[in-house]
Amino acid sequence: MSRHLEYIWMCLLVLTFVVSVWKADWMWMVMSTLGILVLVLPRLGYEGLRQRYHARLLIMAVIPPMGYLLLTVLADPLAIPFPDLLAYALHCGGAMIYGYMVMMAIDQRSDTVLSKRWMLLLSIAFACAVSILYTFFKYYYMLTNGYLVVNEDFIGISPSPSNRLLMAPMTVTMLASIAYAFLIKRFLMHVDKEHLFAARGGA
Amino acid sequence: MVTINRADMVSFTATAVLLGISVMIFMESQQFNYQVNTGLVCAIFCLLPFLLRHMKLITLPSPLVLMIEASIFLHAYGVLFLQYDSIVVWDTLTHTVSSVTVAFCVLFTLMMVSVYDHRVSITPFWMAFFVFIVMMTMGVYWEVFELVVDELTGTTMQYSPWDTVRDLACDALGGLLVSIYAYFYLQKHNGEELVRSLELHPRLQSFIKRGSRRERRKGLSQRM
Repeated sequence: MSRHLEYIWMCLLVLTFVVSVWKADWMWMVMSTLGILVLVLPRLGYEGLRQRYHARLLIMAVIPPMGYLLLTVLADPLAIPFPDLLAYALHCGGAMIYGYMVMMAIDQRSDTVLSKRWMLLLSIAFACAVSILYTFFKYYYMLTNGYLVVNEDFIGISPSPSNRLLMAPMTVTMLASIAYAFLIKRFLMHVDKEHLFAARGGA
Repeated sequence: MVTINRADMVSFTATAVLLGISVMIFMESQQFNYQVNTGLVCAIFCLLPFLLRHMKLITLPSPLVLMIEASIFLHAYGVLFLQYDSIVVWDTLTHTVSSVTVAFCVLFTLMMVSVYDHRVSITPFWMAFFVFIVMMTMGVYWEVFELVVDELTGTTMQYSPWDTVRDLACDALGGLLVSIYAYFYLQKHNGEELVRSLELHPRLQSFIKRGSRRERRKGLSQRM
């Protein structure tokens, strides 16, 4: 099952990368690149052992790129409300789960030892750090598309609408990351830390 | 009996000065406006390091206490005397100083976890990385807090998108500086010595340890 999930994940990431380049959606391009790197990580041999992620982790990893692709295709025909906010929430989900995988790799492949609880907390931090990158991209977008952005633009005008637009990725990430952390904790509750990486056989 | 040291004297002085200015502004405006409220809250916060030590929760090192006082005082001074509006770089200055202070607090917290939680051990390189990303998380939470306050009360803590992005850049700079410092410090020093000197309250120590004990118990019950 894990092998099939890995193939599905890989296909979705490549597809997401292509769609994000086509849409000039730079943050999803960053996210799909990060996903591909995280996917390749266990394939790089460690102490003569090639590994893959636990099936439950792979199920969670598949959801964000799949959600993004569905949103891209269906947002207009189905008139889905707040597609941007949904995209931010999916982006946060991707950052959380890939962050969790990065923490797993740090735990296994360096002298650093992390408990599952700390891997989860640090993956929240990882998602928030990624959302800052998103905010910088958003600022660049606003700057180049004629939005009011600097202090002098707001003499006698409220900056709230512009601030709301800029802050949306970080606000959604802050709230969504807590919900995702709860879900990841529940979903991986019965998986021992040592079994998050599963052996794929000899080198 | 708690002795009063130099750091405490700085805390008391900062509190007294901020209280005095806040009262003066209150007398002038005859209302509890944003300036007065900020001054009063910051004055109370200046006493926090002393109170934490007095309650025997934690003894913060004097340099960190001074940094905390400087961060709070600069912010309060900026609000009380409208320096945020008149001096362009005031916001950049306060954000950078505060981010360095918060990053040091994050570093100490992670070092305490690394010492007291037997399931966690962090090497200098990854400690530096974790300090940076946790510091950035603090930056996100602060900016969202500013947005929420602006939306609910009509204040302008966030002047513009440019202001927000500049704040985040300051947070990144502060986090990066402390990360680099942490990496080189932990290469040469044993963090455990510093953590023990903080005299963390036994209950807080057991709070950190409790997570590791609970996880170990859970692991045992799964194997049985």
